[in-house]
Amino acid sequence: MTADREPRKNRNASEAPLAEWVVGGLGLLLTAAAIAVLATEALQRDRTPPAVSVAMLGVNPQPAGWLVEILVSNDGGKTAAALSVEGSLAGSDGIVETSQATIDYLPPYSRRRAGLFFTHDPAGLELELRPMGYEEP
Amino acid sequence: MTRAGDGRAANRRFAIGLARAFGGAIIFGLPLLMTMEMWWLGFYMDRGRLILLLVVFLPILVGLSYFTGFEKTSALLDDVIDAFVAYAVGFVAAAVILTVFGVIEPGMPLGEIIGKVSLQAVPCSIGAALARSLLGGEPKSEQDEKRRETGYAGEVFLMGVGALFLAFNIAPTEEMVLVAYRMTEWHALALALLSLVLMHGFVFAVQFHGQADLSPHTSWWSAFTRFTAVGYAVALLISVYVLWTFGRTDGVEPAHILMMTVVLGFPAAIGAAAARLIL
Repeated sequence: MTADREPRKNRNASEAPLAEWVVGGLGLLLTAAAIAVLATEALQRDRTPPAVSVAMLGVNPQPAGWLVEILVSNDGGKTAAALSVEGSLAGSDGIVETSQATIDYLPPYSRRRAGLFFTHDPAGLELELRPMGYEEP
Repeated sequence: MTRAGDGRAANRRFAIGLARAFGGAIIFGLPLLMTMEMWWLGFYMDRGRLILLLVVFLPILVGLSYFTGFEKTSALLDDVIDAFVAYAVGFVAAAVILTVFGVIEPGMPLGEIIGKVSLQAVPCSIGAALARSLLGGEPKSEQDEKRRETGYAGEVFLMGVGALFLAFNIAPTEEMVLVAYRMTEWHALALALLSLVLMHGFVFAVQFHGQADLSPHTSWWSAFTRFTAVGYAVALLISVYVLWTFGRTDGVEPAHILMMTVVLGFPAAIGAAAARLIL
């Protein structure tokens, strides 16, 4: 294996300077740590379907109406792709207005912020937020 | 010069090499660092396949260090250290750039962050390993003089690295799947032929580059069988592996997997053929 290599003083010893050993060691450490985290995740990961919940963060008045800021959370073990969420405003005589937002990807145990626009003031109405559907990536 | 002086000079040379490695990591990694499918794959791709990818890349980086690495090496141990240095550079470069892009944030689960960074560390580490041959400050003649005789196995290995690099850049994109859906079997056949013709063109070009133990006297068939055909087979095998790694083959019928393989085999073949000109 080493027969055709360039001649050198010491055939067995490494000629690497100290700094190279340090950085190489760091690389070994990072690689091993990444593999360890990924393997732990793979072994422990529950394959439960996405468990999505939508919470309201706040209401902002806007020139064209109102913005309801929402926080979408996935407490399941799988990723939800193309996740759509809907918010509806209901008054005493039924639903007044609905609005939708789509989240590209919501990984397991993750949160994403989104917003829903309404033309009616949510203050006097009842706001219901719910996830609609998703696709497996 | 004293021993300590020698050590200092070696450390200084290594620091310069390290800076080049970061440059190479960013140049080679940037297209994928800015591909959103790669960010998504970082958290949803199969963990077993991601670990396998990280492990499979180690011997590839050792081989790259042996043939072209960013530090002149003379012992196998040094090539192994070089491979880990390339990984270190890849991990750090990927983590810094993904953080600056806001792709990884403090609130994210650890698995998501590690997944995104380690997937990107792979192409970045190729750039780090290749930095010396591409960004090296040495005059070309000196480089050629120092370059190892690669031999036939080495040629095939370098073709594989070229194929892997280009396949890796294309495979995560949606366009790859879309192209395969648009094509008929005739298109696939034409693409396979085009891949072979272009590959042979590159092999022909390398022939006059004075490498690859090919000489202008080598017969057309010999060059075609030993380099073009073998290179294309390597490109197709690597394409299937990359497709499987990214979960592109899951639940897809074999005939369509073959179509995708031919589509990805096209850039892989170009990468394989061009590798010898670039590396």
